[in-house]
Amino acid sequence: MKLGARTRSFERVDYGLCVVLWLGYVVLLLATVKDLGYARDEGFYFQAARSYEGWFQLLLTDGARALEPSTIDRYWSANHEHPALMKSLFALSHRYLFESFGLFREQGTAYRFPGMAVSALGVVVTYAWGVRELGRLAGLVGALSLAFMPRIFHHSHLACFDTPVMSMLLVTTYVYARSLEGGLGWAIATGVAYGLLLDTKHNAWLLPGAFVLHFLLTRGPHAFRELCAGRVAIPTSLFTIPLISPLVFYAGWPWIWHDTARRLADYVAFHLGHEYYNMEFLGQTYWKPPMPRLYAWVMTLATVPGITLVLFALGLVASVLAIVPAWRKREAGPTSIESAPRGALTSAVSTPLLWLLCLLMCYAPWWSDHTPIFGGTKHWITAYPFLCLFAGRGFVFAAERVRELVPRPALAQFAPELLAACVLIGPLSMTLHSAPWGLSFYTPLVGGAPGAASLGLNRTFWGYTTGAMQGFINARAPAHASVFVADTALQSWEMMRADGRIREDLRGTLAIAGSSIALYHHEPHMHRVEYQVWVDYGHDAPAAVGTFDGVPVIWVYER
Amino acid sequence: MTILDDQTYRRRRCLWAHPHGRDGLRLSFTNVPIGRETYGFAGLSYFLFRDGAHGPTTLTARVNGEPVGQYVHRDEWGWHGFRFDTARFAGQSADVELEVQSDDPSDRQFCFYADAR
Repeated sequence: MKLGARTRSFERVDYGLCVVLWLGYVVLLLATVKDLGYARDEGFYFQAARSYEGWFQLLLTDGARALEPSTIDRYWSANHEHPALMKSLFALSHRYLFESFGLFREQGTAYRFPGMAVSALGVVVTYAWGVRELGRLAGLVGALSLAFMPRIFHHSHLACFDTPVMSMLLVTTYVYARSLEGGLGWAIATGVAYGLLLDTKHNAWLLPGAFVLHFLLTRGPHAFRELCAGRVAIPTSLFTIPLISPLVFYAGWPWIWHDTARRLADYVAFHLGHEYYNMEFLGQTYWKPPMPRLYAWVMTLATVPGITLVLFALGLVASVLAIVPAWRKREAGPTSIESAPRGALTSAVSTPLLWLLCLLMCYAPWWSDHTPIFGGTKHWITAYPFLCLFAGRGFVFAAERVRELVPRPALAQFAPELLAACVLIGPLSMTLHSAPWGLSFYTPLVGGAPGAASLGLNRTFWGYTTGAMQGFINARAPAHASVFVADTALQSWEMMRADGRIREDLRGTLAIAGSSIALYHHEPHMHRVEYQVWVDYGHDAPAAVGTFDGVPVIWVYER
Repeated sequence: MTILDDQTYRRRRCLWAHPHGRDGLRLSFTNVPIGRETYGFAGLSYFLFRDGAHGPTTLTARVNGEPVGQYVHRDEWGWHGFRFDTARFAGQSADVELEVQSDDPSDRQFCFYADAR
């Protein structure tokens, strides 16, 4: 296998590998979903998807009524702070894969399936792009490095938007890169893909900025003057994005079909002035901006497997070493690329530059003093496919050197494959070990989960670890008991009950008084709730503590 | 008695004294041994009130009906200390009245600890 080859063509085996990667990842996600409790936000999205499902039903039976503004408002007002693509897919999956075809035994898994499918698409596209730019083995290393990031693996299970938006952002960027090689089809596809990305989550907003910057940088410092003089053409996709994507976005979100301007303004305002979350970082709980400048970087170091980061660093250095001379050379005067047709834009230099710009764009909000305090790593995981593509490039660099070091040619030819196995086994092991405690996982760089706990890094959020205690709750709760669910949304609790994970007779409640069992998901700012349990229950001894690698994450009190 | 979370979210045991209305809440303790000073800590749940959206809460202390001090607490301080000079009553047993009052009395989940020394 030739390392580092920009194959340009996709062979049959690559299509086969895409299918294997997609299927394999989805099967792995499904196989590990059983004791992963429903996260807080999933509960809200279940509720919204149920409402949207009702509208889809109505659309089939009484289309005219379904399209009336009052009907749209009734069904689509649920969770209208986020666009509708994924929630619509959750609804359709529930309607057809659970209710019609009985493909899933649990409703919750049916709701989660679209998230898994779209997340797996991200792995596939990472592979596809890696194959084109770096060769098959490096593409595989990049794709599996992404799949075997424990946080990616965790979020890929969920009926949420974080890994789907990661995938859609990657797809859009890939399609954009292809469009730079020419062809109206790719340019149109870019507009469509960006519309779908807008319909997935608001992480989409900054991406066109990265594209424009890439366009300007690949043309060198005189880009604007050259543009005005008509000596370079603007890529068609930079027109199709503003022309096509708004239509796709609009079509995919019935909530904005009327009163559009006000509702869009509300949507933007909601996210620019998002209510604060609480996030523990190095022993301190942050709840209003600014977040520490190092937060995203340290959390990346602490949660992405070290070998993936090493390969990324190698790949980044190798890429920068290639980009800088090429860019300097262009400064000397007009080059073929500036006067060339658009097809010349994607080159060995411009693609890594695009990856780098997209990666930086994904981290950019954490450089602002005004970005609201959101949750953890899930808010910049859109950067990780690009990180993994650089890791693929780093792998090429490393594998070539390793092959040179092996004295026997018979062995040397297998060196890249062996190296690939070596760099993937650790992340695979970490990923499998992390389930179902995904958000509690930290890499050995910070001492794993115990080291992270000592450092004061967030142990868990979103109340999903209730799923890890479902057996204990079922065994110990009195008949018809009320269970104080703490950070678990009541809708998430109800889904656990509907799926038979939690006993039918157990009622979730947000009132400690009157409850027989009380949960506590450990976050410093949640201690208040635990103290209330102590006062109300009259003792401070948990009946059970759920731990990950010895670190307490959730505890259960009995009255 | 209850437990609230301080500004580091650690536990603090205290006497819950929620004033109702602008007239406030008066707590009377009889035959209390008085020291050179009365000291203590007061606060509201830091998590719930740390953004300081409410007005201040005032704790006024009287010994045998005579005012000995006043502490004005702001929510965003978390668990915060106060002290009143009671030297002129030192060594006596007296009636102590603590009054909790706020001009913004909604959600004044005020809680305090006090002792003499």
